Amino acid sequence: MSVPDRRRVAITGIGPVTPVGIGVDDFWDALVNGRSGAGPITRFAADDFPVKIAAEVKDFDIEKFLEPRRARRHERFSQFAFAAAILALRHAGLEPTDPDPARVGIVIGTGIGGIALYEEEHRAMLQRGPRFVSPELIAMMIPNAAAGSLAIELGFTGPNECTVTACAASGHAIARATDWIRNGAADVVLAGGAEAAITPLSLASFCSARALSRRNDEPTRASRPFDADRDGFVFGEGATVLILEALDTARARGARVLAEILGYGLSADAHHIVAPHPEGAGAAAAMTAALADAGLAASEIGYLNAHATSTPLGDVSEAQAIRKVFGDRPPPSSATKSMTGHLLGAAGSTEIGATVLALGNQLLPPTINYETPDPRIELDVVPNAARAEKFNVALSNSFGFGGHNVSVAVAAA
Amino acid sequence: MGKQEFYEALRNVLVSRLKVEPEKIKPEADLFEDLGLDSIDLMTAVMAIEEEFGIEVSDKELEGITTVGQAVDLLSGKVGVGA
Repeated sequence: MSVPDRRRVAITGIGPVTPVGIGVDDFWDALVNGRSGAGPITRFAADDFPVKIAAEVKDFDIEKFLEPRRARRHERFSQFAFAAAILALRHAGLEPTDPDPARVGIVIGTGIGGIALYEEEHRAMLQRGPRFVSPELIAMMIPNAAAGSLAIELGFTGPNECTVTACAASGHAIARATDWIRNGAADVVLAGGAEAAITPLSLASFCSARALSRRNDEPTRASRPFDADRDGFVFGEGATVLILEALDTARARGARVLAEILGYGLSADAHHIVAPHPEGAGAAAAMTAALADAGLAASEIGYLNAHATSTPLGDVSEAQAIRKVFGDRPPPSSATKSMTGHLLGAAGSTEIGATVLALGNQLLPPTINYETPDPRIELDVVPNAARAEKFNVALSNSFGFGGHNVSVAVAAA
Repeated sequence: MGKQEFYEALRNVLVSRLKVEPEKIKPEADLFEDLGLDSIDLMTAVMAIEEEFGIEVSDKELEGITTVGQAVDLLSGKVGVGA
């Protein structure tokens, strides 16, 4: 079911701030060479935690992007979003002053928001008293602070929103941005996700939930989606912002079109707040809906960027969903999280960015650390080494706690 | 504790916490016009000084404070400088 007169949606810029690299060149170089961004936790002393590893963003200096007086007003997750937005605008060849500001929208998702500042200020209250809590805490920690701050810093006055659906948040952001362009609410949208939640409190909760890999002695081998010996995800952080534009206005300004968003699909598991549906029914529904929205047959999909977090249950559920949609001939399906770790609310846009780069380079990023097949996962996971592949259309999946599923279909420009 | 000590403490908070350029800070500098602070910045700075020196400043006392020098006078007055 396609609507013939809706506007087409181009992707013209990618701004990654990730544990494997900042900026498209470093990010893509790491992915095609199978480099992991995981290592020992450095942001705080994690000695008392059963998990002592994470995928942190290295060498991040917000002052390369924003003057110090303004930068200090933004929590770390908003700072990631800002840097990612600047990188994406540059990649798209857009100066912030180029477009009509009223025609530029912003949608930045996050799973958790400014929890680092929350923990710091909560400690201040308990140790020193309520008088010593920062007046800026609430304004900086709210999940929508990144989207609002980007508008304040860049002056874009179009639609502005925040999607909060845990690890599907930036998948939903891309879907939202696609709607705005299709229906004419905006010509350009800065869309993506940001997360900076590697803090003692969130780490403790994920540890209690047994969600994280405990392979502390081999951090770069800890995230191993689809491998039989996977034991949980690697906690990551970062942001990726994509520049979405109406294809007609992008072409009119002579933009380099990287890919086109053909459609997306959304669904809910309606099953459990954290456990995936055992047969992947919700995930399959999202992929099927994305194909329908894009007007595609399953056989036209040449690559699938899986959500695949490296948890024992989640990867099996997604593999079953993929088989349900694609039958006996599923497309090659690799897991970017094997290298980046799990960026939670920033995972979806980061992986759609990786998928766009895969399309542009006709090269599939691998699933690293794939050593022992899991008999329940019957997929070509592009094991351990990037692979040249001729393909025109790809899907990228994002699923979140709460049972939210997003699948996005992108095509070569 | 002399005024100089409060001046240095305020200067330190403005530079390290609020990222004000050090060369802009002078007794006659206007906190809002010259240093670019807003009311939340001023609260943040005053809270840090309150904590460092164990003093308390009311919102009412802060009203009308516009320069670095006035802020130092207010803060140092809290511990009876020269008394």
